[in-house]
Amino acid sequence: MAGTPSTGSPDGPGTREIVLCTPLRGSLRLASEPTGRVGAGHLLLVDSHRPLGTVSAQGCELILLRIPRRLLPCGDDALACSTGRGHDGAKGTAALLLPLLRTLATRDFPPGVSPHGPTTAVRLRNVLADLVACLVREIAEQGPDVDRAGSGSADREAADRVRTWLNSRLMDSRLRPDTVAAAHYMSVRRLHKLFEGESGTISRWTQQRRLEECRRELGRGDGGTVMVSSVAQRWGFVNAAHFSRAFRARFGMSPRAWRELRAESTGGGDAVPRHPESAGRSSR
Amino acid sequence: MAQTTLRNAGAAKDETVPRRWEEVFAEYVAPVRLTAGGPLSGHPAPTPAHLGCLTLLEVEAGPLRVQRTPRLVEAGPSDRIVLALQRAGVATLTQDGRNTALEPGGAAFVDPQRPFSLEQREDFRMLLLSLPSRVLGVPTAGLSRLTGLQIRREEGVAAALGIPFLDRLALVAEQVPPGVGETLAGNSVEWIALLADEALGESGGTGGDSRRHLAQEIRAHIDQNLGDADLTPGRIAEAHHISVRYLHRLFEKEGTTIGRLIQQRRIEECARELVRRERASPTISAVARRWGFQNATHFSRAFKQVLGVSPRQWGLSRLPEAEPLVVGPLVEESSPPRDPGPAGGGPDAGEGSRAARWSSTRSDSVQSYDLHDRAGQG
Repeated sequence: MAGTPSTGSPDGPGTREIVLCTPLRGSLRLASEPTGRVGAGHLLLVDSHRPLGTVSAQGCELILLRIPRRLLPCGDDALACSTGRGHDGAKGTAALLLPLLRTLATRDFPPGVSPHGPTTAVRLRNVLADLVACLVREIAEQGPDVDRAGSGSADREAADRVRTWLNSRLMDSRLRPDTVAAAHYMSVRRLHKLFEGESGTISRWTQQRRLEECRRELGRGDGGTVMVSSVAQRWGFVNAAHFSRAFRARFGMSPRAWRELRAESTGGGDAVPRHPESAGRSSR
Repeated sequence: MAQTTLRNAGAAKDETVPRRWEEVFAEYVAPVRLTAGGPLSGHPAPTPAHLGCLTLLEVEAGPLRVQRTPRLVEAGPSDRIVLALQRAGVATLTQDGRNTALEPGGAAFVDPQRPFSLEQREDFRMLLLSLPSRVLGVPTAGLSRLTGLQIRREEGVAAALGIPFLDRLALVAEQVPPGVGETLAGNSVEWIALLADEALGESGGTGGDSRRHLAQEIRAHIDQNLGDADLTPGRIAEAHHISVRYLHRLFEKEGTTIGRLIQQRRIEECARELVRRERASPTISAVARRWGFQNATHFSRAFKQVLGVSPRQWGLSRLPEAEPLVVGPLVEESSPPRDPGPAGGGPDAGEGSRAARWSSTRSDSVQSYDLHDRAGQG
């Protein structure tokens, strides 16, 4: 039986979706990867706008998680290299996603779990979307040309230490290269060198991290009660206009637009996948 | 799993706790007093794993008490918030006046900004997730309602999904490069926030809309089934696909309990019946029985508790005026008024009315009692 998974969506036909697929039973074989099978314990990522070609499924019961592409905080490049192939679900982000999918799909909730209201469903969908985006990022970064800053392991360790230190202090708007360097008993020059490969300078790295945290909070989807300016301030942005510009430059849309996007409901059932019996049978 | 008595360390430093243990806790949780039931040297001190702003500590040892004493709190405030996931063994957690057992599979928030005690009574394994309190963003008022409570997977969707997720995080943390780790940490913060919101009874930040909605539905369900002897918390929970525990917590936030609510509504209905101007007025015991009260004494006592007077007094004190008095909660607009009886005030004519007033000739103690009177009259 051949075909791409159904792309019908509450949004309307043709909405670009990223579909996460894992077999509960049986396995899939992709014509594009003749030696590989996607069985239970593997994840297949499909971009609904990039046909898969022929897929053979034998005695398969699939779990599908469909997320509108626009809700995923990841770039098209990263999507391009992670979709259309199977991935090992034993390690990394995939190892976190798989059990979630199984629990959701088989409704394997302990008895008496409370139903979620519409707001929780949206938040849950957004958390799952973020996790899928994390998987995409992880796969994209696995490429052979990945090069981490610093030539030796001593540099790498030092960079890790600084990162760890900074990651807990991102909200502090007074962070400056010289204070960071001093806290680690190194020169500012060495500090910059450690961050050279990754994002140019430590200031830039810090700003990018802060933008990511802001995007996370604004993308929560808890009904638009959070103000863009307060989120920006929380994370150390002193100037609202500067924040909006930087956000837009990095993510391609304004903070407000992102927040609204993620607050919308995409119809009943959202991220909760179809029951395995109805999934995977509809192939064209 | 030997249970040993924890030695009372008193003011002296406990010598069986290696320095490294104290350092790790001090740095990644907060300075605490550690009391061990036996030498900890057999167990390695926990090694922190870092993921973005999260620190993960896998702790495994014999009986151990972790105390954040008031003096330690004063000596050094903490800016972290901790989620403890119990993996093996049973612990007792005390904070903010609450006390709970922490069992394998259970999770609990521990706030080092205030005193707490976490006592592992036997050999145990536990995962501690520590993050900057500001990142989680739950205000202190909220945090102090979260502490000292065990969150179990059965309690909600966020717990059912989030607790296993966070538990696995420790394993995955070292498998990913730092950039991915930071993204994963962010996602974990979202799961922790979802857990907190669910445990607090909020649906997700819009002032607990869905919680209120559910409470509303349950009240309506209760009203529709008041006469049913089977109206128990268990049945109500089942009918709404929630756990009994969640049901209790839901109404705790509304300032009452399910049992009290049901009884109060039943008594209100009784009171209403007792003042009906019927030719054959029902006997008190008939009314009581109809509404599920088995025992006249019990009924009278409960009645007096709710309305301030005995059923007999209530039934007796009818108003001289023709207009029947409506007692009880305001009738909702959606419920259709009953057919009026014979002109001029049949027995049920008043029940569609929106007013809930009672005369000042009634007992003084009733005057001050507000039966859901939204108009605030009385």
